[in-house]
Amino acid sequence: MSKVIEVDCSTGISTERDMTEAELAAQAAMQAQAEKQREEEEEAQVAADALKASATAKLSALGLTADEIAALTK
Amino acid sequence: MTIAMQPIYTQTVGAGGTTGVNFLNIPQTFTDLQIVVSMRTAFAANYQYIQVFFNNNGSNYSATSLNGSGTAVFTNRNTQIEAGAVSATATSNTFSSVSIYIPNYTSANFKSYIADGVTENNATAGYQSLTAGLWRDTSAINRIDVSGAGQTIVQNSTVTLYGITKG
Repeated sequence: MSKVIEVDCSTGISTERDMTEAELAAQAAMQAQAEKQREEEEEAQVAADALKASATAKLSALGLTADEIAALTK
Repeated sequence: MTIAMQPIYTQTVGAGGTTGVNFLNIPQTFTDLQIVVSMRTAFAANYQYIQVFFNNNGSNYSATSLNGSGTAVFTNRNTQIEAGAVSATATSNTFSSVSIYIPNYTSANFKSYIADGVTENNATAGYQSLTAGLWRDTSAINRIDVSGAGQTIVQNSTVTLYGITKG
């Protein structure tokens, strides 16, 4: 059973308890949402990296040196 | 002008970890709140999210983030409060550093917040985020739940809640 810590700020008492069924369901939903978001961000990063590589290759084909390309992308 | 920052409580996660740290019955006597988190999760991925809810309510959040991954910069819109947490594949014994500032948490207006966070990793992949957010709710905030977005928060992670009083 997953645990959650509850801090009662009015007393300063911290207790640990088992999560309720509702909290477990919410936890599963959070996991799914976080995984979906992470996949989207990683896909966006891969796409951005691919675009950058493609643009760099095209600039290189035009005759720009690596230093010149780096200067353009800073 | 006097400004005082007072720690309300620091929770250190013990052996075996936990899924979340919930602050209940938050005093309504401060002007602002700040949550400072040092967190590592057991999730096996490049990074994980720290997730925060106000008043046990997962709805009506809107946020805009500027993020860096170590090799790329990207933005995103979101419907929850979050920042990066170190996950299990990162360098051992490293924890993320996150701060969430909530001004005027007792007001009858919608609640704005700013969240900034970084993960730590002795590698190229290291994640940073800066988030501006809004909770579209007029209730005073009396509860804050901090989690690893469903993943186990490992031992020695800490969550501290501060109250800030503006004179």
